[in-house]
Amino acid sequence: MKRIRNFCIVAHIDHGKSTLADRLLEITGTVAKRDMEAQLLDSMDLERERGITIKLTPTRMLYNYKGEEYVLNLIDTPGHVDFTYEVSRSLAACEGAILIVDATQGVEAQTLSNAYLAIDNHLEILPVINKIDLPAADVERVRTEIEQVIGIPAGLAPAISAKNGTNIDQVLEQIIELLPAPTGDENQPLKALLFDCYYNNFLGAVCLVRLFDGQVKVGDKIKMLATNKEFEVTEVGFFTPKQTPCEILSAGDVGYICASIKTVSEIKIGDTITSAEMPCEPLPGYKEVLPVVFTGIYPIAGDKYGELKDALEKLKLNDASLEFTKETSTALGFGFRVGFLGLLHMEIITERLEREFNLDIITTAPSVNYIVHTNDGRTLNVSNPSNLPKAVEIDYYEEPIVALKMWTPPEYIGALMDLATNKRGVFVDMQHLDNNRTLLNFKIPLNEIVYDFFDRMKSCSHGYASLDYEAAGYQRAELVKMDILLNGKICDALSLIVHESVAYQKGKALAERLKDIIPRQMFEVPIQAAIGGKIIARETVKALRKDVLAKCYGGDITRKMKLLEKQRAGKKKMRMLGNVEIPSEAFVEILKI
Amino acid sequence: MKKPLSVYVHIPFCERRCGYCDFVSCTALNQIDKYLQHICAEIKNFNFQDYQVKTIYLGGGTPSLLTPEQLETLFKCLPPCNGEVTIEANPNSLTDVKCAAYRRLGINRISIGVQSFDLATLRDLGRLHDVKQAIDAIKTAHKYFDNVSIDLIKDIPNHPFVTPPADVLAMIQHISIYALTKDDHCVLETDEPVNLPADFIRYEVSNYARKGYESKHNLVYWTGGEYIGFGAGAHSLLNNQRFCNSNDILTYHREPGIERTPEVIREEQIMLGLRLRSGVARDLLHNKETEIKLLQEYGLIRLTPTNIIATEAGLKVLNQIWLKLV
Repeated sequence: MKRIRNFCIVAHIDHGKSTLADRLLEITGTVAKRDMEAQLLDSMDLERERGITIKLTPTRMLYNYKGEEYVLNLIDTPGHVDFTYEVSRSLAACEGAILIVDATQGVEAQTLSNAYLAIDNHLEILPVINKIDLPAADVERVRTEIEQVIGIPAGLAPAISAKNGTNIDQVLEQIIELLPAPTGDENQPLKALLFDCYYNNFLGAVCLVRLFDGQVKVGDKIKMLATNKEFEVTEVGFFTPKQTPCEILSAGDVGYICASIKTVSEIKIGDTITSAEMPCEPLPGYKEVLPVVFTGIYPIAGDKYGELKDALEKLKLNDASLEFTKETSTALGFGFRVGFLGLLHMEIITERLEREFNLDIITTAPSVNYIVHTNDGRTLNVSNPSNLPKAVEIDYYEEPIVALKMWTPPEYIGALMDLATNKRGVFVDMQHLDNNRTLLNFKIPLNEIVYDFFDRMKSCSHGYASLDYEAAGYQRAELVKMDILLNGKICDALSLIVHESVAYQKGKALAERLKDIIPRQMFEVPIQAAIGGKIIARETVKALRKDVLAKCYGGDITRKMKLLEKQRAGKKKMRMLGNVEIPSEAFVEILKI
Repeated sequence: MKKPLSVYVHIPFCERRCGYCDFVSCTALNQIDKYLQHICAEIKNFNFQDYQVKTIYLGGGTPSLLTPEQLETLFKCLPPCNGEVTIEANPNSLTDVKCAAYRRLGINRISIGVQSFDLATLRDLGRLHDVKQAIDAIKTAHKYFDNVSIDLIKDIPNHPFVTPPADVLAMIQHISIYALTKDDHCVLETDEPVNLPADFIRYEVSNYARKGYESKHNLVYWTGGEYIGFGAGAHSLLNNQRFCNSNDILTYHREPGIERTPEVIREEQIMLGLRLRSGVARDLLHNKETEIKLLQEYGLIRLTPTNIIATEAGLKVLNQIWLKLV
């Protein structure tokens, strides 16, 4: 156990986490250079494209240091606020964390929040300054910043270039010298943290675990403490990064357990795995993760409902935090109400549905979960505006609130204050972290930040500000349901729950936006926004004046047909709402109001 | 019994290329003889034995650039035709001598590329003639032909459509009016009204004719008849295959054809039928009662017991109607 080091790498996005991981794998000979695919740990295409890691992939590396062979377990962590809980469980599997800071950028929002997360999990932090190959690198300034802003010593922090492989050996040396070895007792009953899982077609759910006490081997009966389910172990092993079975995992090890678990839904991230015969006390920190953002997902072609269902089920195999239930919309037909951890999560899932499953889908306005109190004393949870009781039956609403943190250079404080206040944010306080950085704390309704808040924050701070948020309970709010009528008919898929104070303004903006999005049709299309029975805004999409192929002579009919074919392909991306054709992106576009 | 066939001959030469034209064309006039050799070989190579040629159409390019001698060479290779024989001509290259030669060769219809009766428009289109030359050419043609057609362009941004003057209308039997388009697909906002005397009947979305003077050749295209195209970039429909020649003027060859599936035939018939005054046979449309009713409600089509016919309003949005009906 003395020669095991369990660690993770935390960083702000783009500071070089995956690149350093690649270098470590390469230098320890875990992956031969010729097999290196850039940023090996980010194995999903989508992740690689976005340069962010979503899925955790623990990898065992062997490194010979001063004549002794050490086992280094690298646990990669996702870097987005949507996945904070998953990050925290991964951190709990480690004794130490490498904190990468970009030598040109310094400490950023995510650096801070991840560093604090690591400190909260009692991890030993090893700062590393990356990208020293860049001309703008300022290692000494960043050293000072790490010490002042985060408050950890950085004098010994290796200055590296992960890209070029400079000084990576110093990182390895410090991992061994400075990070603590795991403690624990392999003679105690099994106590393992389930920090992630994924689905394998042959093995079912594969649990990624960190053993704190005891041992586990094939044939053992194990028990999950949170779900109280028992399984028999069919395989144990570790990743190199290939899945490699072994005979036994002992206290201190990081690896995987398979136990004929059919789906990932049967297990909970953060759960404690123990022996069925001799159960231990649960590990601290387990939390049930609940989706916070909900949206309706519908196939553009009504007959693809079955395919969409299959696709969601397949995605769920690998993503226990994805939740969905059947939903029908009079406008869109059969579909699903899907719950996500956040907007990035939602974007990833919808993009995967389109790319990997080749489905054309419509995503309706993301909504949060409201608590609705009715006059007759009932309390309802509503995340789909169509499911609201009638306005007269509603006593009052409660909406979810988050504690929002924004880090920004001082010159953007004003703009960010305006932004948050316009979104019904309530200012809590402001902390000057140093000359260049201020932390703004707000309480803000979750539904005000679910859509484009992040983009707006970036644009009004020229990209310098960053944010993080966490749930902060529910609060009574004056909300109303706003309906959109197309050609005189309510389109339920476009209904929204909005704050009374902005209802008029939103209704007007929405009608205007729809007017721009809905293409001209063969006839005039009136667009109306209504609250209760009252029309608050009206716009009209004028009828098409002309849409006809030019001359059809010279006998080239094929070309004309091709043009029509193109137009027809465009139509397929349209959804009929009554007599009105709406491009599927309209449903997302209108949220940018 | 011989099958009816129409023949198209493409003459791709022009004094100047026009930006709005997407037919194969070139300005290397010194290559005309070489081209004629090539096209004659192509025509001779085609077996007309099973066919009765109903119409011939010499299009371009500018067929009127050919000298009477060159045209005669070409006609020697062409099969006999007892029907409509059309030549396209540009106002600035049409003369009495040429018109007389056309008649001698059996040409009985002439289509003049006037494009506009507005001088500024002609200039901006890059045409080489002015309004007076256009009218003179029509007068000349009128002396020799009782079937004269002119081509006009409308919906050019900032260029008003000028209706042909009465004395011109009296000399012609047929007008083609094409809306200027971007990428072949009309989405330009301009849509100028066309006001012609009632005896010019809009028998196709872009074509107007006095009764009995509809272009028989073009109607073959629009009603699914068979035609063979000779020359660079020429199109054909033969034995249920659409095929065309490549665009390289002196070395063109026939590209492989595509067999039309019944579905393609049906969709083409709907597209072409909607453009015609006669409309589309309703039995071509399957399970489209709701759509037909909607289109009718919006005044875009009208129904006869057997056909659906686009209304004036419908003719402007034919693509949308087609998309609803296929």
